[in-house]
Amino acid sequence: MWRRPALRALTAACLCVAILAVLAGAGRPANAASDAGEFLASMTGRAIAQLTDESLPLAERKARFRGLFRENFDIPTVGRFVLGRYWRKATPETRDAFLSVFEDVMIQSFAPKFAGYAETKFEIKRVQSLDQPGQFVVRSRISPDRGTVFEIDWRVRERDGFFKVLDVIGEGVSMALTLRAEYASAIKNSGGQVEGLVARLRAQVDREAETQTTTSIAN
Amino acid sequence: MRILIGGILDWSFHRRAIVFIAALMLVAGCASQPKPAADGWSESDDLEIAEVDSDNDPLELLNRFTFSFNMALDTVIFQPVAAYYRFLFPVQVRDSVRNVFRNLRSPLILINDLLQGETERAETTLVRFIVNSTVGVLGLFDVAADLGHPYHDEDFGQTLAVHGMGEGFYLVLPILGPSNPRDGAGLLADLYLNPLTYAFESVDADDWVVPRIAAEALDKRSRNIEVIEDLRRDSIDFYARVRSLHRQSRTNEINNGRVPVDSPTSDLYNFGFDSDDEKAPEDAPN
Repeated sequence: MWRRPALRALTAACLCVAILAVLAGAGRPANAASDAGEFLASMTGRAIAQLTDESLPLAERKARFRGLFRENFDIPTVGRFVLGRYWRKATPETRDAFLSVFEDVMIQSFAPKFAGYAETKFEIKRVQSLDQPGQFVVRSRISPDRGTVFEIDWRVRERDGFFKVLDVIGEGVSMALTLRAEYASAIKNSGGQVEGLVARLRAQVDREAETQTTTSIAN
Repeated sequence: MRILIGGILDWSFHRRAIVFIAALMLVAGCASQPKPAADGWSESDDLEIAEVDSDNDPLELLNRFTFSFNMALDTVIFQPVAAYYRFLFPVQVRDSVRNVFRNLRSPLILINDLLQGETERAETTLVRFIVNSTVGVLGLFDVAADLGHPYHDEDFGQTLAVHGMGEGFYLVLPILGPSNPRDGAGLLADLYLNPLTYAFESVDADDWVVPRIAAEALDKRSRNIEVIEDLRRDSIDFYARVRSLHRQSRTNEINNGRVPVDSPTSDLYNFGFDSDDEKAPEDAPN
């Protein structure tokens, strides 16, 4: 006898959840800007937590950071952009080789930074949408426990409900534009061949990996 | 260097310097390309991308040589001295040293604020100079910053840029580093614009200008040790990286850090990343 009301209550609850889910889904595009801020806060929080988790061995921490990085940075898009006009000239194999080494370069450059943020306050100041559809600039304020406070802009893009970082901008300097200029110059100096750039990046990643394991990634 | 600075008080040097400044500015003016009009569609976008990709570095070979020279000098002298300076003195002392130099620079900053028509920033500079020179004990303490008047820098190169002068081309100066004809001329012009140059005339300028510039440089370098090390470590073409960094950060200084995020003319945030974006670099001609 008592089962019927219970069942009804359960159906009602399910219905409520379903309606809420639909509502939340419908509200999504309108809140895309605040979602971009949340995305970044969650990503940086997880990155810092994972890299500074002393209970895990260094190799494990690095592996987790790599997973997180792959999930949240649009490596293929950024990689294609930084190669500029050389992307089209490169063979599919070279493109793959470049993207693979570029991911290593990015991880090597970002991991020590996040690892150094352990005692740092990281807050989102504001989110602004850009002309490009689905793109936002998230301004974050980073306050180290000592040293000067600075602001970093993260350019993120939403696609199919997922956000990914495209660029990092500090003091008016864009990471993507700087790398594009540097790589173009490096390619020019290796006879216009992307293969030359890939080889140099690979060598540099290997060299850096050696020093990072000896000094530990958190400095 | 001694002769050069000592010559500041000598009239024939003045004449030569002014001719030199004018010549540099002429070079910068002639070499600066007109900005493409932002009203077109695909053509102006292509130009924008081409501009982003252009190194504007006709003297690259010479510049690379000067750059290597500067880097060697930095490794052997500047970086170790800066590191030692940072090791010797506590941060409060170093901050006070910086405050004094910033305060001494205030009159020059004020002049450039005014020349740029930035009345609000000029007011900030003026308030800072008055407050910090008095309450801040001759500039030792940056009281004004705590009162909501933060420091900003200005120079004549920026003033020229605000009035529409292009950079000319990339130029690495010995010891002084990345620059261009416009900013090089600005540097020299600042020496003339700075009231301090005249205030210390009776003291003997060369005993003053060189140590001041050296101490300012030492302070700056001591605050950038890790940053520069970082930039250098994961770079494969450090010269090209610095060239791009310097140009972007100079643009940011000229805009007083007010990059209009939502402005369609702002390259910094609105350049296209791929063919799905409106201003896709893939569409630009080679």
